[in-house]
Amino acid sequence: MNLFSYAALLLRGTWITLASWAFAGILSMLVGTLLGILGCKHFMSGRFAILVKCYTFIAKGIPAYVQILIVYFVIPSLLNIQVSGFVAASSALAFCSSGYVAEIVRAGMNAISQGQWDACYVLGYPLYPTLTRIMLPQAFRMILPAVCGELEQLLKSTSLLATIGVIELTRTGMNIISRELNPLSVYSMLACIYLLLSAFLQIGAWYVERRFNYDYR
Amino acid sequence: MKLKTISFIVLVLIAIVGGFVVLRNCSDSCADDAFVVGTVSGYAPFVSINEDGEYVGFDIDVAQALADRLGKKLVINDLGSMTSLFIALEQGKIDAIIWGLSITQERLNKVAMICYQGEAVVTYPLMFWKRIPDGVTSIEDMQGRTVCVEPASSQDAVLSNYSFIQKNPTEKVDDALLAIQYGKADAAFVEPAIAKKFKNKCSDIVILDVPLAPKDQVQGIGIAINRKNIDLTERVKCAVSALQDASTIKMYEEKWGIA
Repeated sequence: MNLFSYAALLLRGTWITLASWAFAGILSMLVGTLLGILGCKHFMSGRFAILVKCYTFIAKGIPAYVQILIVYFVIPSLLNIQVSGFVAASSALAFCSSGYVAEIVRAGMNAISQGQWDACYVLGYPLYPTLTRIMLPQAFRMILPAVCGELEQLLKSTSLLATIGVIELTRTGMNIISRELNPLSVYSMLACIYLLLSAFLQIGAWYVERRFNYDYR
Repeated sequence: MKLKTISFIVLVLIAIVGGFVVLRNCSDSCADDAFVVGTVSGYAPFVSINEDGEYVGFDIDVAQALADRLGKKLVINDLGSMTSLFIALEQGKIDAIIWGLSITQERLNKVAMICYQGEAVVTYPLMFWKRIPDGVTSIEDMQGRTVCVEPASSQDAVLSNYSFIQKNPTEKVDDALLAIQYGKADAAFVEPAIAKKFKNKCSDIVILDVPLAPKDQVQGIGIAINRKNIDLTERVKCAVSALQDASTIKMYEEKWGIA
């Protein structure tokens, strides 16, 4: 078997994996951060608290695979729309991941002392700059390892796209195996590619941690 | 401010890309002149993806020939698993399933099936790695042993008759091969054409033919169409007959080595 002849196919699969990861990761971070803020103890009495609790409960409680099937088959059928496998599966992964990100962000926000909220209030800071300039940077620094872990988990979860036929990295490998009948070398190669992607992510995380002085607080 | 601008640009990009993908998918598969075929890649020689990322295989050639006969544009919809294929057919996401599906009585009760390849199958191959275990001469001798089988396949239905066999559900035949190779299962129960391909490529595979009860016997490989879609069923039947008369299917069988 000459795996080099499949290099272009594997690159394409890697690209789709990364595109799905980026799509799901960005959505998950945006939604998760917003919900994490709304769910933190400072806003807990707010009317969104119950909604946030319900959201995280559902997002975390349903397996990602089932969510993918629901988003791909059930929701389009109910709404009478067409959604591509890529968008459906990536959105489902984003939904699932955002539940975890919301909890991580909530933990980070809750770790900030009440005194800081009070100080902002006394100094007359409006809510938006209080969050973006004072609270979130501190919370973000504290939750960096957990967020990076979640992003890494998300990268590996993209292999679930294969279950609805999206030709991402894992599915590409399955196709090569079906033609070449050499599962051991193909799966080993897939593992190496995933490790390489994870390594890049780790390096990125390490760089951000250094920038935010995570270990030197 | 910079962060806000970047976030906004990212969101807009996501919306544009997402919208584009949704619309493109819709325009491809919703068009009236499209023949949307559901299949699952990674099932060579029936359906797989070549080095250039194109769908190839016996079923793809047949689907293209059928689409040409129907005067429609072929749209391949890869759905990842058999369960997804049948859900999509039921929901009308696809017009037909062309994926080396055996025609069984159970499937005939649910969907319309049009035979396009193969003849009646009276045995299914039980694949072993290197040697058939001592004392195993028929499937009845597999008591307490583990056999890999694809869930919801016709082999799965046959294996259900033997409750003393432990089933190891494997979505992909390649995973079944891996399982028997590394001793995770004793045997794999697969389609005859797949067993033949495996045997040709790998001399370590040994096959034991399992005779099928009359109710489990397969009437060839067929195209599945929603029962409600009577018009399409008739047109596909005519198109398949025409392809068989013109020896087109025979030519594809020889091309893909499943004759």
